[in-house]
Amino acid sequence: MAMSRDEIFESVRDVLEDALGVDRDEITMDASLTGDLGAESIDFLDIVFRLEKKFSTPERPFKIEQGELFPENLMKDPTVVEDGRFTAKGIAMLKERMPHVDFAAFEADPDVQQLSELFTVKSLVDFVQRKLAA
Amino acid sequence: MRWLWIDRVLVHEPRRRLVAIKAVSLAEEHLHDHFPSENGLEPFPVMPGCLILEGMAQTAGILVGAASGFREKVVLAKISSASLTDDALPGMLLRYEAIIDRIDSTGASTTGVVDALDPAALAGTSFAGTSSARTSSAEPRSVETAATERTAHAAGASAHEANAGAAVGAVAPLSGRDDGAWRRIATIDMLFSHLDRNLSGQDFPEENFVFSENFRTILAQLGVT
Repeated sequence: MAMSRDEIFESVRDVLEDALGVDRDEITMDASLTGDLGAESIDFLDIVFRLEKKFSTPERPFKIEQGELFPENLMKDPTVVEDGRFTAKGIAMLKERMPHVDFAAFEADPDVQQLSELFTVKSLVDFVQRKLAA
Repeated sequence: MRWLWIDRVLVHEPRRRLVAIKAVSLAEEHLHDHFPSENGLEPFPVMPGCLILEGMAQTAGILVGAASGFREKVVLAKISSASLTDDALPGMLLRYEAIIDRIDSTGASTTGVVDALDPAALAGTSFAGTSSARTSSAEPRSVETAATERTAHAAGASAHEANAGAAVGAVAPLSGRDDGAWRRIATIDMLFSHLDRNLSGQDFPEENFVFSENFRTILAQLGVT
């Protein structure tokens, strides 16, 4: 049976509670992983591992490819990032690769340092929901 | 050689499982400060919990490093969970067992347990030695008694072998079965990162400084040189 969005949200909360050691009530839909929940780069790997475990079933493994949930190996490409900011091509690439993330506000000021702020609890829930429905 | 917190590798199932032994010794200087005699209390030498964690980081780290032929710089990124439930005292053997839960090119997660063998728990077995050295200088005994004793000794020796077998061959799986004298003292899950594939985009030196000379003795026991 397919999981409801609420069920997915609660499971994502389980994952973040364990991976980041934060209180459950801090994990709201709008909370950002780095800014609000204090995630560091290594936590992203942990979150990927835990999401896979959480949403895998014997019938259907939930496998997250590298770079599928969080961007990887983009920063060093000069056509993607120039002077610490994403180029138009870079933003188009991000949007295409990461439909679970809302880039609307980011486009106005595409500072690389701000990218991780876009990853919210909601983006994780969207990612899982999209992937389960695929 | 320094900063090695495991003494021997017993089992290596590549990409799956590694079992290592640590012998806790009173010659380890830090035990004299952890804890010294204070405020009228007796000294209480006990292996610090952080070093038990380090032992697991080395056990699991070698397992993860071996999976890529030690090409990756494997570093402990995170202690996902750790529960230390009992003391590791001088004279005890610690058995670390690490299992890879998941591994890819960016890193790995492991689960692990630490069991302790207290020689005191083996008093009365051949592990604690026999008194034959003293009795041999006593009155000559009848052939019959000596024969009985030999049988007992042989039985003791085979019990000893069975014990050794339990430690080396049939190491308890993670299911938590506590075979004989081994007692669970910790459960430790960890996350390792392959340093050159970190998500923050930082660069590190070419040389693999993680698996340097320090580890060669241990790795040689694995047949990895």
